[in-house]
Amino acid sequence: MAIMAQARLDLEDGGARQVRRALGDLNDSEIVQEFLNGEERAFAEVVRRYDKRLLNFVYRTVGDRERAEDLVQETFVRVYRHLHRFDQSKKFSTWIYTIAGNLAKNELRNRSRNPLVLFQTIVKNWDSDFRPLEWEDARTKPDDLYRKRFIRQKVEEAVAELPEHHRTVFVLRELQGKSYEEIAEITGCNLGTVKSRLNRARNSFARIIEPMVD
Amino acid sequence: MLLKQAETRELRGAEAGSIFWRRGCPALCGAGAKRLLRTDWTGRMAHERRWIDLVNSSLAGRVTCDRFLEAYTDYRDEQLGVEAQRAMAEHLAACGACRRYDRVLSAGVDLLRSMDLEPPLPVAPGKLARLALDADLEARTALPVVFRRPMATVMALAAAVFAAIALFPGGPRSTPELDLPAVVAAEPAALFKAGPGIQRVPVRLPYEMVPTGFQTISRSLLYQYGRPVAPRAAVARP
Repeated sequence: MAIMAQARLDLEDGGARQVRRALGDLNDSEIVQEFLNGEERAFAEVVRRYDKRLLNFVYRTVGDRERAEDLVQETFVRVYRHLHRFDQSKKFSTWIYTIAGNLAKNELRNRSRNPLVLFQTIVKNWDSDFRPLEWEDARTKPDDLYRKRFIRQKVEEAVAELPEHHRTVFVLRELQGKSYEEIAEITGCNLGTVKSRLNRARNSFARIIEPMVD
Repeated sequence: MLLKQAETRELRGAEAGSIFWRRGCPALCGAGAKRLLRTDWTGRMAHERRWIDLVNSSLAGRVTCDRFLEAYTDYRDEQLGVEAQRAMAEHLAACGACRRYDRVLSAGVDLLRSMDLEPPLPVAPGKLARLALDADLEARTALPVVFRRPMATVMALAAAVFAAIALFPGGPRSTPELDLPAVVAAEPAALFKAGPGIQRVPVRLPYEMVPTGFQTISRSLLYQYGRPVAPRAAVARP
C-alpha cells in the first residue's frame, strides 16, 4: 500500500507509468482493495492479468472464439459491478473463474435449447477451394505443416468431445493449473467428484488422441 | 458428516455470531454452524486420508496396469505417498503400454498449452465501466419477472398448485379433532324402581363440575354421573 501511495504522489508529477508498475507489483487481493478504495486503474490491472487466462478457459469450454470473447467481457462487467460484494477472505482468482465458468455453462445450456449452426462449423467443412490463399513458406515442408495443423485440429476436437463437466475440470487442471480444491470451489463439486471426473477426462482424452500422437 | 462444497462456501471465514450471505439472504452464523463446518472439514480430511492410505496400501505390492490407470491422476498430480509414487514410477518404466499412455496424454496436453489463444486488444476499463452502468440501469428498469416470463410464471404457479394438491389431498386441514374425556352415563337405579321401561329424566348439570379448560366445549359431554369428570389432556387425533 505504501508503494501505491508513493506512486500516487509521483502521478501528481505526471507518472502514470509508475502507478501501473506499482499496481503490477500488488497481489490480487491488494488490487481489489485498491479498486474498492476508488483507484479505477486497478481494474485495468485485473483485466490485464486475467483476460488471456479466462479467454482460454472459456474458449476451451464453449469452443467458439468470438462467443468466448463476449463471455470474457461479460465476466469483467460482472466483476466490475459486484466487486464490492466479493468476500476478501477468499481467493479472487477462484471467484472470477467461477463467474466465467457459470457464464460458459449457461451458454452451453442455451445453445442446447436453441441449436444453431455455427459459422465456424461451416468453415471447417468448406471445400478446399474456399480456403483463404496462403503463401508458400520455404522454411517448412507442406507435409509437416499439414500434419501439424491436422494434429492440432484433432486435439482441439478431442477436448470438445469430452462431456461438459469433464471438460471444465480437465481444462482447469491441465491448462489453467488449478489445484483440486480450487476446481472444487469453481465447479461446486466435492474433491472426490473432481478427482473422478479428471481421471475419466484424462482417459477419454488420451484414448481419442492416441492414434494421432506417437 | 460431509457437506457439499457449496454448502460450506458461505460459512468459511465467518466468525460465530457474524452475519453472512446464504443463498442471497443474510443469515446469522451461529456456533452450531461453525461446529458443523469444523466437523465437515475434519470429515473431509479423514476421507481424503483414508482414500490416499487405501491407494498407497494397494500400490505397496506389485502395480498392475489396471491399478496404474486407477491411480494415474493421483500419480500425475503427485498426490500419492513416497512409496506409492515410486511404485508407480517403476511400473511406468517397466510397462510399455502405460508408458505410451502417459506419453500420449502429456504430448496432447503440451500441444493444447501451445495453442493458447491471444486475447484481442484489451477492453478499456472505461468501456467496461460504461457497460457495467448500462447493465445496472437495465437491471433497475427491467420489468418484474412475472411480465418478462409469463409462461414460466404460469408454469411455476401450476406446479405449486399441483404440489399443494399432492401434499394435501383432502384439502386444507380443518381444526384437529380432540379426544375428549369419555362420558359414561350410568343410569340411576332409582329409575328402574320407579316403573317399567326407561324414562328420560332431565337432569340439571352443575356448571362447576365441568373441569377448567373444557367449559367452552360442551358441558353435556363432560358430565359423568356419580363423580366429577377428571380433566384429561386433549389429544389431537392424527
